[in-house]
Amino acid sequence: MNMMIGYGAILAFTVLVVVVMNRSHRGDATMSEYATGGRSFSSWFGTMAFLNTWLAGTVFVAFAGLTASGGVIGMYSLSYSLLSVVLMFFLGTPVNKWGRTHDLRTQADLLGLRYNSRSVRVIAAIIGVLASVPWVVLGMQSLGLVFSTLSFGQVSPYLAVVIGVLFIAARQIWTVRLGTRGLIISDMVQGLFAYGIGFLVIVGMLVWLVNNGHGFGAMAPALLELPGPGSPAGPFYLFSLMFTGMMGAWCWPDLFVRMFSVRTPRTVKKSAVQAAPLLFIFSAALTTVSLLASSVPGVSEAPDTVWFIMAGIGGVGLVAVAGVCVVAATMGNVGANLQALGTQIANDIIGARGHARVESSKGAKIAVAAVTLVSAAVALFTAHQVSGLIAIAFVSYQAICQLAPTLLLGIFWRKGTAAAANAAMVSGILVAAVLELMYPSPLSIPWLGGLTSGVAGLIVNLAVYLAVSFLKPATAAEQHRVNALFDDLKSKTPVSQGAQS
Amino acid sequence: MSLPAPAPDYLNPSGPQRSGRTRLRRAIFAADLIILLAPPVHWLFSGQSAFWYFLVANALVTLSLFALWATSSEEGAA
Repeated sequence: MNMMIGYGAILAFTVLVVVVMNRSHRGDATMSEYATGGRSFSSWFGTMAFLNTWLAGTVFVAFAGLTASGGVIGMYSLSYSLLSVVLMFFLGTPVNKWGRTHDLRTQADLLGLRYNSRSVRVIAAIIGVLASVPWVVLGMQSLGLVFSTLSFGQVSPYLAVVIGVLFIAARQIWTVRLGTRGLIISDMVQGLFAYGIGFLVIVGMLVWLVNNGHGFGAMAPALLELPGPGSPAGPFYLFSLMFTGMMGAWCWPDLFVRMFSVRTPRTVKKSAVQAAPLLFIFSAALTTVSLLASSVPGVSEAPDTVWFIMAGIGGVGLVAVAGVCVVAATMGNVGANLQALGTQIANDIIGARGHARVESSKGAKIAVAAVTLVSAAVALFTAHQVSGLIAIAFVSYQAICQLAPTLLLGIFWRKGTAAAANAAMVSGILVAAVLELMYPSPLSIPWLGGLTSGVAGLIVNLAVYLAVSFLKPATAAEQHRVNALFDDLKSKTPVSQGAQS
Repeated sequence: MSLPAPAPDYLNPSGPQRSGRTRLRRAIFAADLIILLAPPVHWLFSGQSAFWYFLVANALVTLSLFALWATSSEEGAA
């Protein structure tokens, strides 16, 4: 009976999401419509699309577990998330305006335009795809905990992972069919449940914790310490975690394309302003619960299950609601990732081989379906060896944040060149990957004061980008083209789309 | 040949006004980075104060978004 309630809740919620998605269905035969949802969404849809892509189901599992076991340092994720929202505010104008003016569909598309370079576009697209797939696979596998918990002991952990992977893969039928428009509509439903209902559950947990003697006084003192000078992790470790998170945020292709989907640059900014308080209130409450729950029996033995241990206090119904929160958040992140990766493969890797722009959405739909099947297959075959995949995922995070100098300096600085971008991305990834293998996460690099491999790679990356840009500046014609791109941002009406020479 | 009519002043802030807003936005961004990222700030806090540091610092950055919005009345202003 308990299992029927748990699995039934997930099924009922999924049916609701699919019905809402189908009601929003419109023709999306063109690649642009499929990839951007017609650039038609209002700021509230932009806000929820950002939140549902950014706050994956892992915030209830891995991140909550990190806070429950590692202590107050777990709040670093809130800090870098908010800094990412601040960056979103500044990125809104160039990304949205260039996107509309030049019919950009992906992050790699924007880089191809900015640097006037097919190689920059393809390298960025390949990095985005390769770095994202391990996270998609982990996202699929993370549902195993939900299906295991909601079976109330009836399903083995391995079978629960299989069920979770098959479930989320089947859900992508609608992602493939409906593209970005369907995703953003579903983000609203999923987000309202995951972070709205989820927040109410968190408030209930907080009240219970405080009333039952699980305040700060009950916590182990070590959980309230931050790494500083003389600590084993090193004085710059916390800085590195936050800096990598902030720089890496907009390097994720799925998050970046959300800025193409809303109406205007001002809509992106408004989405950011609305997202900030929601993100702050929800994440601060969840991390506080995770922190205080560290003294609850059973949490220290299995910190990743802290969300469900706390929900268990409220009985079967609350566990089912908690499970749906995780599923709703996972659906948004996995769907957005698969859609962005498929579109990027079709538009920027396969599509970049030809001289004409890809105009049909058919290739993107096939690519999204293919990435879904490959990810699901990898998730099933590696279900017994998740730790190896986590190591690859950590490496991929250090790799994807190496897009940041090329992306951010390309958007905010006129002098960066294609040669600088290519050299910077490749050198940054090589440095980060080698150091990551020598000092695997979450360990920091002792002789760099606790910096992580990602930050070390970013330092080399940035130095190479600046050096090449200054030593080998763009030609006069190319600089003129780039200046025109930036000048377009200041005008109400775009004045130029390229060099005339 | 004719030039487009100039936008009203309230829609088109003058150069000094616009650059002042740009400077203010950059100052807010720099303050956000210092509050949340600067290692010496992290080293100041331990025990329960570390928790309150995160809470207050992130609340300030959240409020800074509203300040950024207030300085950005123009469509398309970076």
